[in-house]
Amino acid sequence: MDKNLHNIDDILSKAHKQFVEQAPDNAWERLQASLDKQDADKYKRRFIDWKRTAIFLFLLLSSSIIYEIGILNIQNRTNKNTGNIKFLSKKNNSPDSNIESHTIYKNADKPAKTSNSRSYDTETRVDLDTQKKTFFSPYTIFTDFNSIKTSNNLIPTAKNEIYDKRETKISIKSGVSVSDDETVSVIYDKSVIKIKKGNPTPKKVDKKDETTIVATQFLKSYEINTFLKQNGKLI
Amino acid sequence: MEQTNPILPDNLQLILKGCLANERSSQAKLHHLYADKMMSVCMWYSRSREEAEEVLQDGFIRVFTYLHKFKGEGSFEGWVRKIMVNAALSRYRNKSSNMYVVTEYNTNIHDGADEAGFISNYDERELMKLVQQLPPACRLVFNLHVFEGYSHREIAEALGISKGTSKSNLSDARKILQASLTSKNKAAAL
Repeated sequence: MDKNLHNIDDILSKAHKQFVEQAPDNAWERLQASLDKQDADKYKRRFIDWKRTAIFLFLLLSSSIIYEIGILNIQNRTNKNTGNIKFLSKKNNSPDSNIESHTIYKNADKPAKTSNSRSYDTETRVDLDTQKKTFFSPYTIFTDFNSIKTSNNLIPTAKNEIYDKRETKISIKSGVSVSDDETVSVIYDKSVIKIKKGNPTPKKVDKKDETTIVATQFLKSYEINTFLKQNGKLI
Repeated sequence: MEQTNPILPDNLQLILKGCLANERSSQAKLHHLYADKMMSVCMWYSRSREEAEEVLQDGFIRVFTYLHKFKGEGSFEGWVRKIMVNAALSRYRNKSSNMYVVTEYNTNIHDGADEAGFISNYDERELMKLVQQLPPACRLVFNLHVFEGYSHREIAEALGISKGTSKSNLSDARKILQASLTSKNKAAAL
């Protein structure tokens, strides 16, 4: 290689080392503006990612809720069609049990009249026959009663009324006549409106939106509470 | 970067820590520390001052973006310088039309005079301008080989060209520089 060409390399290399050029005065301002823009883009991208995740989770949650509701509706429809209704959360058939039987009747298989209930003419009758210390949660009864849709919105407000009673045998009879020795609670939508003992007047309660609670015995309120704790069917 | 690096001075370590936390004040200090030196580097790799300023800005953005990758091995200034050179290279890689070799110069001008003597009469800025006037491909190959000490294989990898092209570009660059110097010298003599 030409000697002079080598000289060019050396001299230019030396010049390169010695050369100093000042950066422009506004170099930092321009750089800062670029960095700010870069940061803003980064945060924007991150926000979009979070938004996408949130929308995905929302859709997932919504679809799972819709799915659950659909399942519940199907179950309710099946129960209504077959009349196979779980009336209490827990049924204890051991010898010590106080629960003797739960019976739910529908139109097709109405039983014959009993001495305690003279007649009934609406769609559903529910009898809960108990011995002296059988505890049913009124709330549970109403809840399940609602689930078979014989009456509209029978609700916990009735619960307190029944809690106050002692040693109560509870029967729910939809639109049924009652015997003279029974205590009658007539439940309209969302409230217990009257409790009568001995049933002097309402010979027959047969309005469609009414349900009759017949109480011949009284439960102690603490025993009901115990029952509720043990069976855990508070909804 | 978590541990203290014995190579780096304490204040530089603090500045780098701040830069890693994306603090503007630390970034400004780092920029202030190296801006002039890196501007000098960028000038040799660019055709004009405006282009060098753009390369400088792009290079500093890369420095702040990839600072976490600096492991403290070797000089920090060397690392920053390498980033600047890469910024200049990627600028030319993106503009692939720049990579052709211009051989319009009369490279046969060679009167055998003692060029080292008259070259030394030029100051650094004049010599830098001569390099700036080289075609982009020749300028990059010449700079990488002469200033950065890259081999032809490394230049070929960096620019995505063959070794032969790299050698050819270097040879052309030298001839063009020599021709420019000779004609300048003749013009000065008149």
